[in-house]
Amino acid sequence: MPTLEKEHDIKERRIIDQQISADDYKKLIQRLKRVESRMRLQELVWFLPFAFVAGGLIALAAAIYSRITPSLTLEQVLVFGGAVLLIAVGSTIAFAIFRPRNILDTARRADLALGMKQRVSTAIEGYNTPKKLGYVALGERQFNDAKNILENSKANKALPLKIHKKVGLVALLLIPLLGLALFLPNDNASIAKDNEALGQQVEKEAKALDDLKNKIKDEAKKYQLSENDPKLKELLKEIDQAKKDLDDNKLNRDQALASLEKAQQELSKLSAQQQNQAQKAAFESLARDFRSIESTKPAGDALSQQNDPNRFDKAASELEKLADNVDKLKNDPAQAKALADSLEKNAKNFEKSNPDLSDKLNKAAQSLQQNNLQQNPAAAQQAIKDLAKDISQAGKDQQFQDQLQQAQSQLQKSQQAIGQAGQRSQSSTTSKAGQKGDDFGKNGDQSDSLGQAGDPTNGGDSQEFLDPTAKNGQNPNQGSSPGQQQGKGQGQGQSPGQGAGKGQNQGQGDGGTGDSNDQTDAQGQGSGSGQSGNGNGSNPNGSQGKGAGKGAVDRVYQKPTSRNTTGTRETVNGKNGDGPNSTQNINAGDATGSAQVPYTDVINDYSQSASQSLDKNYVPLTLKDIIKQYFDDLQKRS
Amino acid sequence: MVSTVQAGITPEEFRDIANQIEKEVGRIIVGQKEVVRHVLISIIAGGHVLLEGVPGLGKTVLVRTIAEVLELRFSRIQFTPDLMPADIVGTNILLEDPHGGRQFRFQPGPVFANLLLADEINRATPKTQSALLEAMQERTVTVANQTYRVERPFFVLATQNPIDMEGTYPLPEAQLDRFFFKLNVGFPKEDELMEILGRTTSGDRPILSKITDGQKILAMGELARLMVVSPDVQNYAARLVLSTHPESETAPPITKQYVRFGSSPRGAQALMLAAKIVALMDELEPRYNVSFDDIKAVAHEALRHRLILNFEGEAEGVTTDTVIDEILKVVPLYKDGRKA
Repeated sequence: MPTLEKEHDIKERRIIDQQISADDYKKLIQRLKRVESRMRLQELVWFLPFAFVAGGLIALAAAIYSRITPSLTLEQVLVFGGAVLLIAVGSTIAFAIFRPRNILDTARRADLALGMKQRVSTAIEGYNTPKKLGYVALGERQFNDAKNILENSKANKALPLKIHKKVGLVALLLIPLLGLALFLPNDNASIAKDNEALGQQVEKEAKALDDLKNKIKDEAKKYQLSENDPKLKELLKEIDQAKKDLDDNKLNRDQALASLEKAQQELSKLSAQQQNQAQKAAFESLARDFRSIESTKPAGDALSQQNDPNRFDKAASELEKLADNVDKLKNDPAQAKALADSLEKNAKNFEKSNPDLSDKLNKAAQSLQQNNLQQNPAAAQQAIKDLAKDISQAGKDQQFQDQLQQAQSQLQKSQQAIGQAGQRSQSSTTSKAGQKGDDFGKNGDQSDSLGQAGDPTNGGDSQEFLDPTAKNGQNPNQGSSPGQQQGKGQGQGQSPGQGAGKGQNQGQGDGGTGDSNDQTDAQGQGSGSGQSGNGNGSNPNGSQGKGAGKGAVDRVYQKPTSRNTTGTRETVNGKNGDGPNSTQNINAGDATGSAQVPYTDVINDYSQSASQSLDKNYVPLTLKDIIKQYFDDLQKRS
Repeated sequence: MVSTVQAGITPEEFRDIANQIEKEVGRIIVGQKEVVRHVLISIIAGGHVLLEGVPGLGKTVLVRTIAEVLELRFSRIQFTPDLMPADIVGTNILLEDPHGGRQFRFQPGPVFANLLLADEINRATPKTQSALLEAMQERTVTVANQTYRVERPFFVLATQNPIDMEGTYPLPEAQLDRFFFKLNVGFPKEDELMEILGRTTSGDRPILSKITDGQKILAMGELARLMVVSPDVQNYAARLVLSTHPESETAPPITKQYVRFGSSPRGAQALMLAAKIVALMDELEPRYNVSFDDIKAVAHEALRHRLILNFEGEAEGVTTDTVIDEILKVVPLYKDGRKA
């Protein structure tokens, strides 16, 4: 039976092929394809507003979201919204153009759209499966009927290009809405931008810490420091922790800064900076003295090689050689005496910074005294060896302290960078006045004095200051304060060219907010940080002085100005001075000069501004109390 | 496979004959064009029609007119409660021959005709009504174990009155299902009524022409069966019928709520065959295939008497036409859910 059925099918196929030529079928399909193209175009036009509305709504949601929360910058919203719109429109176009369509499905759609009463789909199905439809009897008539009606159909008229009116209206409404949502001033977008900058900065600083850690490890190997050294381990652990904290708190400035602050405090426990500095100076002195004595000259030479990481070991090695040849000293009493004196002198230099080494130096000095050396050269030999050992150890300690300083310096830089990251855009949108950033702390050398205000250029007028005790040209601390101090000074330079130094100079003006209607108040806020300001001043009594100092001014010291206006922020880099750095103590006379602005007039504003700045900005914890105390004192006096 | 040649008629002839019949009937019957067309469809399909309408709407006249136009043997039975089955199918009567011998001879009843008008069919008892069952379905009549074949074509056109239900016997479902169509004969419109008055109260009565005969009607039926139906359309008809079943997954809420029993497969057959004839008769757009619209055009007539409403449906005054309207509205044309 299946064979009979097959034969029947073949017979039917033959009949159909005789009735309907393949060319006719092709023509029918071609015509149908043209209708399909029109249908795709119609579909595209219909769906485009939907796609636009869908994409636009998402973009609008993103824009609104960026206004509610400081999570997206304008650029991000624009990119995101644009991308969504493009994807929506693009995918609609692609869908309309490239969506595969079965020819029978197209015929069905065409039948419905062109009112052809299922003629075309029946014809296609009948031609391809004649048995299924019983197509033989009326097939030819049906096919020709379908072909004729398809040829006479007016697809363009029957399939007009229309858009959905309501959706089209929504799409039109979306355009101005999007414009408003995107381009009206948006504080949150600015904050988001800052956050983004902050995030990048935090990431950068975390990487810097990572690099630092690796560097310290490398150097530890180079200097033959044991990795199990508890201090080194502690140092690496703190750096690691700081990095981890930064990674965890990428977008939280306060947390990031707090982490760095904590790490700094931890490191400062390990730090012995002053001893280290004193020890360095003592070693330099020791090196000089060793070089002046023939027998210790090799050790002195070795110690003098500042760039040689193994200089201490080499020096120690030279001293051991000397110990082994202590007989030479025994036979040369003059040299032994010179060495003993030198050691004794240097022992005093090391008294505070390294008592152990000082003790060893003293012992060595004593053992080299003439009588002792003659009587007990072995003791001298041992004392010199002990000294060598201690020098080697002291060198390692010093190298550790150097590394610690590097780490602290990196943490400090990270704190500054993170503290300032992202602040720029906020200032630029909210401040107008205050383009003049007051620069405190100008060019100068690397002296330890802190806080002497100077002028960016020698002899220039400096800005207002707050120190009630500092009048024009009379700051008693100018250029002479050892140690770290904070102070503000104003120097009216009268001797151009005097006492300029070179140093790192960074002044950063921070435009504050000001009232543009009040020009007198629109001075703005400025913050500057710099090192080694060099100022010249003269007091009213005629004495002239030069001051060199290192200034560090935070924004809290700056003159508050009018608020609620926009302004720009300027960064003013200090200039290197021309002349050599010099320091001179000034015996200041009576303060008969006058300040440009009586501090009583501004103290309240300044105090308030400082308080706000303390709340808003990062100020190291250790400095906060000082600042508060400073203003409290001023308030009491006023 | 039957060709158009074998069917003995071409689609063009088909359309022409159908058109002429409608026109000729229209000379007597004013308005009621849809009813006339559906009766004609039924006749071409070889099915029976149940005409429902209040008295005086011309149901009987319509049937008589069609019989005249088609040159068919016509008989009429007025159903009454005392009507006996033998009054319909005939009976054996005892005849005495000249030699004194006696023998039974079958006296055919009115059912032996081409066109049988069963007037007010619901007034007869179920027993009598059921006498028509065999003739309607099998085209045979059995009397005293003797089966007699009813001449082809054979159509039963029954009428019933929807009001004045006292003393009536509603047709059982099995018998209702045997009717190809159930047609509601509505009241004529104003202009139609005026035309009726003009025609029936004047002296002239048009003399009708015989348009065709029973054989041609059978040929037309054969040709209609050759019409091409795409699987989509066939599937649509099947889904429509399935949607009348409350237990069906595709049934719309109205079916689930108000229908007790849906249409039988015979309803689907009637639907499809009638749609084929509708397609062939289409004068405006002559076609050789069945469309969705053709199915819709006969859905009410083919299905309304095959749906049985539940108590809730009857209590709320829901009609089967309402249910079919809703089904036509909700059932998609294509299986994938696409609508027009």
